[in-house]
Amino acid sequence: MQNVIIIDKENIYFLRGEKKQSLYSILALHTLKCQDAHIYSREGNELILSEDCFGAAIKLFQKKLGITLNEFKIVLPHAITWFSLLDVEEIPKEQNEAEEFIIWKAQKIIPISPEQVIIRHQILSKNKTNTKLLITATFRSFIKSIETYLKKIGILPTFITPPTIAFLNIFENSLPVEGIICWLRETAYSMICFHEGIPVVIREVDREINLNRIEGELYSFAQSIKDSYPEYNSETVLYFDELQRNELKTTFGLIAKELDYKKLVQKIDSNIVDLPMYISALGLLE
Amino acid sequence: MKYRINFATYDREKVLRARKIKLLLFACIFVLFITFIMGLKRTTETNTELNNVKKRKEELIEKKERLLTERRKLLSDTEVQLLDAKLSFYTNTFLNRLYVSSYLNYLEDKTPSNIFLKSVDFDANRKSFIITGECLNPEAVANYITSLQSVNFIKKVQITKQTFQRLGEKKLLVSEFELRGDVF
Repeated sequence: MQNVIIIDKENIYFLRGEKKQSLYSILALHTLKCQDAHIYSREGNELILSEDCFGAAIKLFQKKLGITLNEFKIVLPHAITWFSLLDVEEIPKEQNEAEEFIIWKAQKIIPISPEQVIIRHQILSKNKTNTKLLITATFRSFIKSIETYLKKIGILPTFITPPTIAFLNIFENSLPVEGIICWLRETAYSMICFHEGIPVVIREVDREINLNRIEGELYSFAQSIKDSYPEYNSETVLYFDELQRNELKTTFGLIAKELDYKKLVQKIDSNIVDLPMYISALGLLE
Repeated sequence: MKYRINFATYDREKVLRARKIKLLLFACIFVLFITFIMGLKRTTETNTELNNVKKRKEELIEKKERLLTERRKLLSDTEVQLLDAKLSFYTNTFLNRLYVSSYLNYLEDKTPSNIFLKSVDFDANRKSFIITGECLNPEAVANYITSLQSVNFIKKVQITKQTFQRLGEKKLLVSEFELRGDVF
């Protein structure tokens, strides 16, 4: 049994569940809306956590569940992470040297100084001459303030990951070899392009988008992929809409296939209509 | 592919490893503590036992002194010396008998038929023996020495004298020998 919270600009979502043989079981769901304030705000090159709002949410979850929570996994807000995919010959074997190498490589893609970000990487593919790396970076101040606050109240944040990465883990078995996944939220969206089975472009956008414009955005994204990868020619598009909007199904559904989350989840209570809002939390269950 | 991008600075595996090491350390300290307590208890018991033995020894010495004093009252010094000499004589005689009879039993078993023993001199006090004998074949002496050395309480058997004599119109060669050895 694991606890995951999704931090959004105005809401905090709490999910308690477990994963058994690639099927998810959901035991509790809660949402808390932060009244008259945002949970985080950007000040210069720092992202500041509102401890009042965040703390109130944690306490409320504890009160509702009637237990003391010791561990949390956290899904970060949308569009506070920079993604990049790099091809390098090889990375140094020593951990410190590897980190310095990644920071040096990532400097070009991160608009703020390396001291203000936390950088993580994962090797996507490796052969004798080429290593493909997924590099991610987020605000150091934000991670530090979350960890400091949670440790202060006796909770261990064991896993903190960007929403798109969590999302990719849920649909691990449905990911295309060639194609684009478009994940739509209420006020944000992500687009991930796959080429030869691995993501080549990940874009998180924190912006309320008009449904009529989504199709255009998608074509524009696909076009930019074709410019960067001329050999890319797939027309496969998968999408997932957290709000399950019917109007999107009719217009967007003509060009894209909807990812089905229901077959991944065991025993869905018919009363739970907002489960798609918690979908990224499932990606952290192990 | 499972994506493992984790921004948390908390390394669960490292913490679990540290917890295991701490547990192991605690177990080691606990075992050491128990060993120390057991050792302390054992030392106390040994000391008590040692004290008891010392006490018992003192009692026996005291008893011996008392008996000696009583004996001195009953017997004169000359009588005591005579009794001691008598006791020593009988003890040696008894031991000699015991050694000699055991030794002769083994010797009888180990002496082959082609060896003719002339004399056997066994000294129980010096724990040594001298054997003289005759044989027709000189090689038989060497075999005899080897067989004697195989007896587990006989050691350092060596030939000290060997002479040859021709008999019967010089057709027979008789070897006379003397062997010395130690017993323990």
